[in-house]
Amino acid sequence: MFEKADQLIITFVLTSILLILLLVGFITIIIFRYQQKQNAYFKDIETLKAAHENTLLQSQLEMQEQTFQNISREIHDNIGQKLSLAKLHLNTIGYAHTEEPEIQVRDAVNMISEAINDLSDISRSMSSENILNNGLIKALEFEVTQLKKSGIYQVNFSTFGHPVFLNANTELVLFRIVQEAINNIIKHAAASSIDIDLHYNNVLLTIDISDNGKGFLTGENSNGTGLLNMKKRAAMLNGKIMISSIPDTCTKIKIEIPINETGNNV
Amino acid sequence: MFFFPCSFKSKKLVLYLMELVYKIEIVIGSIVILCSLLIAIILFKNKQQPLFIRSFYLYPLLAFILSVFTLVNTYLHEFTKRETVIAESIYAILEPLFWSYFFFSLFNSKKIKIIVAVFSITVLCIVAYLVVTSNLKRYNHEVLAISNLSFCLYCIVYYINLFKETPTKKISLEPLFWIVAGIFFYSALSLPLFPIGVYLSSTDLRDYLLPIVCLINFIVIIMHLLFIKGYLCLKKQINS
Repeated sequence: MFEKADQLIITFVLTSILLILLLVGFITIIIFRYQQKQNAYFKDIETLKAAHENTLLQSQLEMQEQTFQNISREIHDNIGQKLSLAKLHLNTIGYAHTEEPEIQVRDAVNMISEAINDLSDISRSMSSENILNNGLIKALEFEVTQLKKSGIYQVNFSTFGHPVFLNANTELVLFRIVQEAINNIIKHAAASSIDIDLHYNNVLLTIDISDNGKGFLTGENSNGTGLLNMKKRAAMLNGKIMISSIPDTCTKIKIEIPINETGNNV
Repeated sequence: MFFFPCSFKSKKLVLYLMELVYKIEIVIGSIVILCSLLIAIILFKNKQQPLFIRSFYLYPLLAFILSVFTLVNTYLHEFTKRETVIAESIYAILEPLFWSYFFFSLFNSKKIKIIVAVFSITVLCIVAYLVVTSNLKRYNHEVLAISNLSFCLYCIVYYINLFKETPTKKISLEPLFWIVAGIFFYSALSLPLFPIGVYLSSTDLRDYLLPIVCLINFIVIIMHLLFIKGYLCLKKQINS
């Protein structure tokens, strides 16, 4: 009886030891498998990050290209024209008459002054220094002033909530998004009124841009270069853009950027 | 005596050695639990941790009290020849209560929380019933087997969940992983030990219980060492 029991106990103790080893193995395998999964996960993240950086680089290049095009167009259409006209005035001065040259020189001086002012405006608009030094609101106020100067648009700019200074780069990207939206209105909307509203709260900055222009079918042009750039820029800030438009009535663009209490983009 | 086919004299020696191992284990176990308790007391002061982790620190205290009680009882038994299982019985109810709360708080999923809650209440009711009906006179192995089975299931759910989640944790420095590993190690290994204990104590082979008790004590020591590893990881996390 006892010998049988002895054997039973031996088997039992050996099984227990085996079980202990199995459990140790089990826990080791869990650690090993988890680390394998983690490595694969981090590898995926790295790949995604690289792809994201690639997209960012591409959109940066696109933005740069567009900026160059804007500068080129402004110089050609506006400043170039004014300077050519000034040159024409100066070239056609009739020195025989006493009064005419004076008027022509005054006109040429005025045109050159205008061209200088335009150059200065373009420079300020393109430069990031203004926004980095004065913040998003001031930079937008400057843009609004420029728009009002044209006399074509009635522009309303308002801020709601408690404005906070965001990270300089975040403000710059936001400013570029709004600039892009304004450019789109100027180029395509044929609007007479533009409203820009900034809503600040503890977790979100919302920018509403609306116009009373001709609008478009959102399915058709929603992937144009300008809108795509805006979306890419908003994605850079973990934000989103919602566009709604009613043909021949209005277009509304809503930009939402998550922010934290310290005013940083999250 | 015991599991070696040997002569009467050698059996006596083996029995003596087994008892010695048992006593050494009790002392080492008490020291390990004391260490675990001391680290737990240090960590308990930190209020940044979630409540379920802070309340887990009471478990080493409970284990330490039981360990001291067992230690005293082992030596007392030699003089009085009376067995008492009051402390073990109270522990048998408190242990599932502690760990059920721990696992309930550990899971984030509402669905799993509900399952754990329902399962825990059922297990607690069965355990309490078995403890009360045994009149605190017999060390109730069935109670521990039932509790351990439930802990094993919770641990498996934890491991499944661990692989479902995004693997952002550094697992070797994850305190909860080591604590759960300790619980799993103890409950999975003691699960087959307790039914054998029940079988042996009900037959005339009661003397064969000692190697099993020694194994259980060994597992308890390993469990508390894994808890200490978890506490140290937690301390590292808090400090960093």
